[in-house]
Amino acid sequence: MFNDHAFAQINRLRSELEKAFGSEFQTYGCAQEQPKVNLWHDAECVFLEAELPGVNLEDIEIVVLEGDQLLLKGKRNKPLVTDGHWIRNERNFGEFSRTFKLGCEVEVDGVKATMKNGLLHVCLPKAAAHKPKKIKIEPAG
Amino acid sequence: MTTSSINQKQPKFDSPTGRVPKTRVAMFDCWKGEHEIFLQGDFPGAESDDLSVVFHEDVLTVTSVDPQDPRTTDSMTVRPIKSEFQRGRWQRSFRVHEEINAAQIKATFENAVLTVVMPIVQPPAPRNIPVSIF
Repeated sequence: MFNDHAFAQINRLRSELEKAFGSEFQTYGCAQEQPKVNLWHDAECVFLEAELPGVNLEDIEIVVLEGDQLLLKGKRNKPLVTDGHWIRNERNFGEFSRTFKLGCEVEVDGVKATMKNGLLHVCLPKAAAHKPKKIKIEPAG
Repeated sequence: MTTSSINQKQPKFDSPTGRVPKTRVAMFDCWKGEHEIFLQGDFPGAESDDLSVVFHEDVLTVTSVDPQDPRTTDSMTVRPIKSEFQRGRWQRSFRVHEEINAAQIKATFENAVLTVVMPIVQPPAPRNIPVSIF
């Protein structure tokens, strides 16, 4: 378990690196620190749900790439601590960017995204060619 | 040290629906000012009414109710592609090693981020005792 002094030293080192390398250093970094997502599909749509607590709507960008991939990028601002020093830092801040293969082509114009309680929900309707097609059974001649 | 996290054991019982309830550990930041301790934690998916913040015997505990997972609404047709988190009940406890004015603790919840501000009880100022000369 870290004590206050150890955290203060780590945070001082982080501040120095941020000064030296700018905001690019202040990123989510490795893969497991990226926002967590669930991706699933049913017959009609592909759905994505991402945990983005504290992220402002204007800082989120969603792009459909090549018809069958989704790019999710954005940034999360670090709380402004003017009075005091850090003791515990478990949350991630800075820029993030993830690309997901959707497994099928989607209708770009029909994509809808909503944000509620720090959860981003994206609904991507599948392209007609990937939707199940009901076959009418005709009586035998 | 100002605060320390208390490990919570995962409940090992089945719910009435047969599903094992999942308890998630909320991620927190903590910083200490001259007069207050600030705790800020992420609770994605939770409503403010879902959260309970309790301070008892130097331990601050935050819990939430179990939310509905949208993927379970029609499990016959839903096919997962990537699953990195499960909906579940949030829980986290911290032991506070400073004397806190419990009556003045304030909690706010905005955009799935809980902020708890705990005022530190200030020690009495040093007082000079005049020495009487007999």
